[in-house]
Amino acid sequence: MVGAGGIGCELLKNLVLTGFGEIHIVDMDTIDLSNLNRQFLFGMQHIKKSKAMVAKETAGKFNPNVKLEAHHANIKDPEFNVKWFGGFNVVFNALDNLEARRHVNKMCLSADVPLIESGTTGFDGQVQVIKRGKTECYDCTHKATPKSFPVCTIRSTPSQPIHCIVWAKSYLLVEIFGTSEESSPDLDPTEDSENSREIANLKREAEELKNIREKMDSPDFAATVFNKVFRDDINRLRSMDEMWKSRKPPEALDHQMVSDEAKGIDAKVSENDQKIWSLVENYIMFEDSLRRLAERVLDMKRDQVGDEAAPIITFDKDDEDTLDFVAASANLRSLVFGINVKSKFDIKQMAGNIIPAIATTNAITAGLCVLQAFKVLRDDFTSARTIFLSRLADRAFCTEKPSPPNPTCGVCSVARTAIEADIERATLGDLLDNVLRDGLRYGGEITVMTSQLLYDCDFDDNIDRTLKGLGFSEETFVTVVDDEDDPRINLEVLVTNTQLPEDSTPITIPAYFEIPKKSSAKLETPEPSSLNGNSANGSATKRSIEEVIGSDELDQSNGPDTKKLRRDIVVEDRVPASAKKLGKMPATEMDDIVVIDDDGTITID
Amino acid sequence: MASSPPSGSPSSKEKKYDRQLRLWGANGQNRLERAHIALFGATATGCEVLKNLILPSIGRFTVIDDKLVEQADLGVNFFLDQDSLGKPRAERAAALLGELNPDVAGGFRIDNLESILSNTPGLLDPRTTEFTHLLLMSPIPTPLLLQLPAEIPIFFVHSLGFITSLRIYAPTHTIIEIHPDSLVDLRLFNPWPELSEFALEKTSTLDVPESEGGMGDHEHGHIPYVLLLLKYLEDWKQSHQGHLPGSYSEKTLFKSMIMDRMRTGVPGGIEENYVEAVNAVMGDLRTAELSSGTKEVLNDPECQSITSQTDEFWIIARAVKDFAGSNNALLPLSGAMPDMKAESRGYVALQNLYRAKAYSDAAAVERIVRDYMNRVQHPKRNQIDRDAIQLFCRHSNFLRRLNYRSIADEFSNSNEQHKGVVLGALGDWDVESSLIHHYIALRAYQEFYTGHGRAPGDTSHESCEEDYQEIRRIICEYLKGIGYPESLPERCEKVAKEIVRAGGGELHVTASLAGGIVAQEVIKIITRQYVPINNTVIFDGIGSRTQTFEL
Repeated sequence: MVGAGGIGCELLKNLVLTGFGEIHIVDMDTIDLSNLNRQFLFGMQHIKKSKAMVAKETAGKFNPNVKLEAHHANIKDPEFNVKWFGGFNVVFNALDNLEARRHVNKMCLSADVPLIESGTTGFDGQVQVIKRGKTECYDCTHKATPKSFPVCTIRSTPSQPIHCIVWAKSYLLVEIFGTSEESSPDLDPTEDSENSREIANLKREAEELKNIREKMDSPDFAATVFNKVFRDDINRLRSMDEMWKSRKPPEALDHQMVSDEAKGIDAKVSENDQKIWSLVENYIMFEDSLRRLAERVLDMKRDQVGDEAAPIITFDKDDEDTLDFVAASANLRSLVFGINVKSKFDIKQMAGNIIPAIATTNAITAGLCVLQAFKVLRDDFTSARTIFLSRLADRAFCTEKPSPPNPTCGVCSVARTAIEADIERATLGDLLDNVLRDGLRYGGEITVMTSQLLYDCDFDDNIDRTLKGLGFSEETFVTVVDDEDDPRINLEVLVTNTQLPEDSTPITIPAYFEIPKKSSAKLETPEPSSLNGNSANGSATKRSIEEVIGSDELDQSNGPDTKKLRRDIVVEDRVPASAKKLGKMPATEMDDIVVIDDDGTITID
Repeated sequence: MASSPPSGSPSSKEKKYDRQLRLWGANGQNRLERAHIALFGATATGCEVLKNLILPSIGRFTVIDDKLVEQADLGVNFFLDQDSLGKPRAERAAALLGELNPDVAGGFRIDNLESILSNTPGLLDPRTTEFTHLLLMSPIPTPLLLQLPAEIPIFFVHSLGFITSLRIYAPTHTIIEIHPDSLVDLRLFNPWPELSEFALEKTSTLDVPESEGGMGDHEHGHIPYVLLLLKYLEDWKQSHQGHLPGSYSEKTLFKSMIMDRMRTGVPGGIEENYVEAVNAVMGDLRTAELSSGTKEVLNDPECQSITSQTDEFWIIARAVKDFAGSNNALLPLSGAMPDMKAESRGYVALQNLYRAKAYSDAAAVERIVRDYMNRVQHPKRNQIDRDAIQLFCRHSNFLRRLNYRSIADEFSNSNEQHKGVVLGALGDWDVESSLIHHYIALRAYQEFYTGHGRAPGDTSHESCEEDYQEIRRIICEYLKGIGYPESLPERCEKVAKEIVRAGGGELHVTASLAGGIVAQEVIKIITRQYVPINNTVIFDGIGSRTQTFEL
């Protein structure tokens, strides 16, 4: 079970009471106050503790016969390798982000373990069964990745509230209180490559801000920061005439002027998080939150021991000081650029990636996950279902048959093989010659990559480098693309690091097997163990829930409620099952697999 | 869709409930916190429902049950533990459920519905009861269900093996906030004078080239599309004898007329505000029309004669009706406006215009409400809630009224509407996949229990086959009673077998899932937001499907 949050708590309760034998729980998060309206395995006394550990402790009491193991860790850590995934009969995803979902999807495909994927947002939810070669995988359909913005839009030419919020959260707060080396996922530098002059300017401005940071203990710190980012930087931008030809130029603010106006007004006027604050109210909140944050950093510095890393503060939507600072700074910038100002409540949602969540949707979703697991554990993928929950009154949810794999999916519709290599000795040349050319009979025209390009016919610089030197770790996925005419489908090679005897070849060679051509990939394959996803003719459909889950911004006009779920209902085959006291009824063709023993546990055979 | 949360700075309580406040706002949360839920039957399903209501913080709950905790309970009920064995179920479940949320007050009563109705009827008398909503877990004999007061909403739940059903009954249920995708109503076909004047003023030099003293490109590209549409609609009327573009082909022509006026010599070659205007033609250009839900509310008899007893909802509804009557059948304006390409100043000015109109419409409605209340000497005439009237006005075209069929009517066998629904479902082309069979079998289960005082297939009786035959007989009788002309459908038989095999037993997974489905509907009814199911939802865990019927 990956994730012990809203769905996770429900799921764990269900699994424990259903009598599953051994359950591993992985979650890297700790418990927060805002979890408690639905994550019922946690109480006030557990705040800041590991979700995985507390979930195990609480749920374990209800069935001492279940073996529970908790991992307070990131599912992407190397300990959770393909072999580890391969040790399970079924994996449940109860995650809150796209990246981890995709990772688990890939690992389960590689280990050929069925995955039950789920997610909720507000009253909407989704459950999907994923099994290599039988159903579509998580990546068979396009998933909207979290939104990122070009650096120049954020730093120089904002036009929407979200641009100013990202600026305040991922630039200003980070430069003053965080570690600026950290590259923010909100910012996408690639789109600005032609804008090098502006980028150089922006770099200089960031440097200047860093110098101001040194004066955090000075009484004019707030004035200095304010004049820097809302006056001097703006005047510099404004002077670049070509930038404002088709845009309204920004209007700089002056600290003296604004602070004079704010005299005698209490910082409390800005406490209402519903209200749209005025310029003066935003200013007061800016100054007040900057002071609070600076005091925190200075306190931390005083307590710093030896060569500990310099104290930093990072954005947390539940940390009032950082939220106040981001809200006020974003609004001041909006005022400078003539953009709508937002309430703190709205900014919290936009900056914090907040998705509405309640217990009821999680309960329904987790229940459906377990019902799907019953089918998966019987290897009955034809009666597994994809289910969409919605708040519509005419039907609590919609059910459809899972789509077959998308034959063009780069994640699941590939051939697979696994080898071992001593990555300190084996070179890329060994991989190319021994494994791919000799072993698998590839020709010269191939492209080989991990997360980076290793080799193609115009790039052989890496041939003599060791795999370790090329960034291979204990377990590395290598993708091989056939560039010949009438190419074979892509091959995914799982390379596991192993100590091989000094006198032997540093890499193992797989037995040859036929990799189908892309042109014939839709035909039945005789090689089920090394290949999947080729008997499909299904079309990729857009799924609404994932588009919302993991999206960076969830604004009101474009929230989950406006999305339409697919409504087609499938007429389906009957699946036999019984609830209790097997054998009391005359045997029929409905005789079942799920049996309830007298002690109330379900056994599945 | 986010609702407005409570005002003031966020307290730790608001933080705890932040994720749900974004669904139902302070209004919904306040209603939730005033609810006192009675659970009859501390079954696994009952406890799961209550769990999902305690977590988001209902005000109080009372668990009513007269059984002792048995070993079999522990395997399915998360809220009964090893230490509970042999103790009263009501007491133990209330204690463990209470641990979920210190903000919720919990209690229990070792009792059952039958004895309450005969010995302490005041507990359920609408004049004296503390309970605002009743959760009833099957099995409960039908005659007891029929004795429940009509004034209190009830949720009657079956949870057998993989099958679940929920029957809702509530006195007339009105909803203001159904949470539609959008409240935007631009009134483009029915602009009020200030809006027309504003549009005229802002667009007077729109089509004059800058070189001839007209609008500059920057301004031209930032005129909000609402004003563009109003301006070009005026132009259209001039050339079409005062008619508006109503048909598809007229709208298509109107679109190209707008495109022709767009300046293309600007950076990028197009103006975004013009593109927005064109995109809005098909959706936003329409005559204001009352939705069917609003019509039902405004024509409801409750609206027609206001007395000192009339609920505020109906007084406001009547006021809205009167308002529309003297306002060319137009409802109060919602005041909502979408985002659009515009200069900040221009956008805010336009937004203020819509808001001011919404405000003055609501004020007019408020005056009518005041009039009515004074006229009938309404007890609340001195505490008129302005926020409530504004909320009502904002949502006035999205109102909903649900009249739930009583359980007595459902069980009377002579209710024509009920018969029609069941026969309709049985005659449906995809009847094979319909869950109506589950309803029929569950109804037979209910009758069996009422007659025999035990569940069919119950372990204490070695008579499964007999029980099945009895259930079958009940089903045949029911089908005959409603005038079903054919023999017992095979699917009914299969489901009936499944139900007998369940022997009245619950599965935890089903209980948990039912807990989610039921609590979701309870929350809709309590918060008076979103549209609840009317009146039955069936869940089949084998096909992982649901279906609703108005039975």
